[in-house]
Amino acid sequence: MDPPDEHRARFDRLFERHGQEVHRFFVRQGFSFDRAAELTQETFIRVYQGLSEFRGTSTPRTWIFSIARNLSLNTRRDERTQKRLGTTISLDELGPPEEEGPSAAAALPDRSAPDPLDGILRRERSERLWRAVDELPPRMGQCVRLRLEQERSYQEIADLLGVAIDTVKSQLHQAKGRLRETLGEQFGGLEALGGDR
Amino acid sequence: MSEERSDFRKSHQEGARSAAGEAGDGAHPGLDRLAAYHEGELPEAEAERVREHLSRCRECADLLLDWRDFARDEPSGAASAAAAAWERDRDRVREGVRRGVGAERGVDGGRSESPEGDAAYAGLRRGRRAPWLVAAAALAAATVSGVLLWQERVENRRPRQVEVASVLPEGSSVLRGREEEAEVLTGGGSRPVVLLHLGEPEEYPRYQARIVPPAGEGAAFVLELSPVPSGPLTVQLGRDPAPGEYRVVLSGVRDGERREVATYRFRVRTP
Repeated sequence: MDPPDEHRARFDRLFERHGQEVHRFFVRQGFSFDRAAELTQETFIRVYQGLSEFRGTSTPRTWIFSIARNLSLNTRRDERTQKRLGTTISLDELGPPEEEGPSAAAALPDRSAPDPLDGILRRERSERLWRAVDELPPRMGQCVRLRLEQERSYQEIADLLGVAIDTVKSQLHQAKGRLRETLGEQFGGLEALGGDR
Repeated sequence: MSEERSDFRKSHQEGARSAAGEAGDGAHPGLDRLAAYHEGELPEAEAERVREHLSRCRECADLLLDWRDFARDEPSGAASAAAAAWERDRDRVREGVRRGVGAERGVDGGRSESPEGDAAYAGLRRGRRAPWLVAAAALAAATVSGVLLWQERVENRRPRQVEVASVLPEGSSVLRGREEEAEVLTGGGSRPVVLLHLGEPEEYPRYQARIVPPAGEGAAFVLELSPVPSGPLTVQLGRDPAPGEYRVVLSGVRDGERREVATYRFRVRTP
């Protein structure tokens, strides 16, 4: 088999083995079936082009996944940029028109400056919280950090830590009690932990 | 999520990052190690180090959750639908890859082995090249399109404002044209959309857009643009708008005084 044929045969094996996996990944990332097909196509164009340079420092599967993931992230970023650029207003939703005075203001972010003192107080509260979290048992602390810092769902925390979702809820419920003991009942915001059963 | 809760999280997220550093617990494990962790192939002590790292490193946690989406293969309704879609599209995608690689390398004479391959490749490239907001140079401009066009852009996730006329299906009930330098929309049951490309006007502290319907069709809608949106403002006029000439009047406002900056007009006509 000459090199071009070998290259193509190698590519075909990868496509057969991982094509559906890549397509399914894009679907799970929220793309439509048609869009997932387009992105799968783009992924494998890059696979084909990069195959001769692929040295096997990672597995082919993780390599292909990395290409697909980068494509997904870049596509999402482009879409977010476009979305951020635009605002839509429907006159149907504005109520009756008025000759004087605005019918609606375009929904735009508040640009008011934060209070510096507020920032200092928040930072102090934050430091107290994270010191208390570091005193929790490891699994409980991991659940709290994933919930509070990364805003993960119970299912995501369970998947990340490789535990059952009920374990996550239980750990967060216990953590909330312990943190209230340490920080005081008046320390607000711990309900964000959830975990209530 | 309540605003208060969101504030709480935001402030503590900053604190956690400053306390532990962005990566938190040492070097990133890397995808292959994360994949091994996900498959349960790591010794417990090493798995625990990965867990601790994940709890402190958003980047790696995101990576692992994406890997989960990639590697998971459980049967479900959605998975079955995706599998069916893949069965339908697999050959088209493969041919599209072949065509794409051939075109970029200049091999195969730039020709596909099948019309489906051409279509697949062309579809992908068209999406990539599609410009967005090409007409945004002026302080303000108004264009008109129909709901059919707008829906198509949303579904494709690639707005193609300037190419919109060329993707209209034949026999569409929506026709566009120009008449005495005004855009004309003709369509049954359609919903005109006015796009305002506002740029970054600085002359006035506030701006207003007034959508003035045809004479005898009620008062104007006044949109307060304060602050001015950083991108296009899409105004949907409502279903079956009254036929006639509409005006979009853009005004700058200072000290309660309004001064017209530009006026645009378009017509809606029933078929």
